Amino acid sequence: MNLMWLVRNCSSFRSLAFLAFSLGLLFPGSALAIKRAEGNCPSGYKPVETRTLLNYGRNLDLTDNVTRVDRFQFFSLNHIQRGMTSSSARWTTGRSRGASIFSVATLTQNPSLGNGEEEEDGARKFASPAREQATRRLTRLYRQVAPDGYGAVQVYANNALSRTHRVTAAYAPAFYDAKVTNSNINPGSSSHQATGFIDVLERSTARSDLRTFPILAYLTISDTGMGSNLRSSVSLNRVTLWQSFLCELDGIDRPIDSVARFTMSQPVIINPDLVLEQGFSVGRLSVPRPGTFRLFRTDDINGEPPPGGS
Amino acid sequence: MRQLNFSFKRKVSLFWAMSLTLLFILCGPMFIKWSDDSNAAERGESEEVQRIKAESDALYRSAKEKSYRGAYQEAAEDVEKALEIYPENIPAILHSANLKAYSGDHLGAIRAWERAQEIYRKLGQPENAELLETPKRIHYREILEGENVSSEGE
Repeated sequence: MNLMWLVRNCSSFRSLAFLAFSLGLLFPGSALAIKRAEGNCPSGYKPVETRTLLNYGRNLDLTDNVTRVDRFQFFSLNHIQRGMTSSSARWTTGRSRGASIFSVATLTQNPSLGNGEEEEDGARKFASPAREQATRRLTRLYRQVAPDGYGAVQVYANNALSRTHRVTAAYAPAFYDAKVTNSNINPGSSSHQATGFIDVLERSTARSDLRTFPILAYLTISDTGMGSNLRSSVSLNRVTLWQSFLCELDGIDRPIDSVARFTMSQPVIINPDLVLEQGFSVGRLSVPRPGTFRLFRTDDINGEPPPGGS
Repeated sequence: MRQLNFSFKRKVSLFWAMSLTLLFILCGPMFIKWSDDSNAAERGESEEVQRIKAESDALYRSAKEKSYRGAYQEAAEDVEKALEIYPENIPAILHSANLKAYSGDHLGAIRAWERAQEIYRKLGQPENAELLETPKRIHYREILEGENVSSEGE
């Protein structure tokens, strides 16, 4: 049945949907309650909710802040930085001969791994007049924005329209931000942090003659959604929005500090319409490699206090 | 002077060969002209389509320029005009969807993406149609559960 027809024609559908979502929240087994993130886990893995992740941390005597920042942020940023190698991206792009245009992005520079404290890491701060304007009336004024990781990505395009099928490469700036939240991310979230990201990235392309778009990638938990306001805002500011979320081995019991236990999902583009509007088709940002990094460390199990603390 | 001695059969084939060559020389330009005329008729039709497409594209580009300047209302007017002229202008449809989504018209945006999906499928590009399911899903969710602004996880 067409969902749109229901929304338009069935006046009680909204209340039914509300009831379904409420029940979903009451019964955590319901798919509606669990997954808001876009994309799918690799085969054999299942999505992880915010509550599940924080419970794992609490079982290891870690505070929620340590789990969010020290463990999840480090894990997710390291996972995405592996990305695709340049040669692999070039090969994949070349193989798409005959498709309209295909673009594949790969990291050429590791995202800087911070500790999440904006004030302590001057290198990751970017001035943002839009965020300053947006937070002027709030209790705290933010003049800058600091992504958890940043770097340049190389975007390969197979220009089929020119009939040469020559693989071309262009650089694009990328911001990465890890978020552990069970709600939608919107431009106003976290003291207009996303507004700041979009502002900085949008101006970075305005200054250069990039043939591609900057990348804003959120590394999240499976119940973190991308808000519709954020989606339309990034599109109108010519920034591509990606999401990758945390997954856990399904049905196989492995120790919590095992490298195979957790992985990130294949990043999914949230606003493909921006890329399609320019005549490109969308490729891959990164490839998940289960079994590469540990989310929790061996010393978490041994009960030793985590360095840095909260 | 030595006389060439051709058999009757050879004389007939020589006559036909010369006649055909003469026919080709005389009628060749006529055939080429006829072929040109029929191509021109086709070209005339595509020129008209191309003119419409160019006009629609110019309006779309103007809408895009206005969007980048933040003049969303004017941009929406231009993009609607572009779609009136050429309703299958995919970039204009996608841009119109984004403008509608930004202004809070979620159903309008979803309808526009569905229209783009139809055209992509007609063009034999189902993978592009499939990609548009993501924004549709996000805006459906927005209609169903309303705005939910996060304040966690800085």
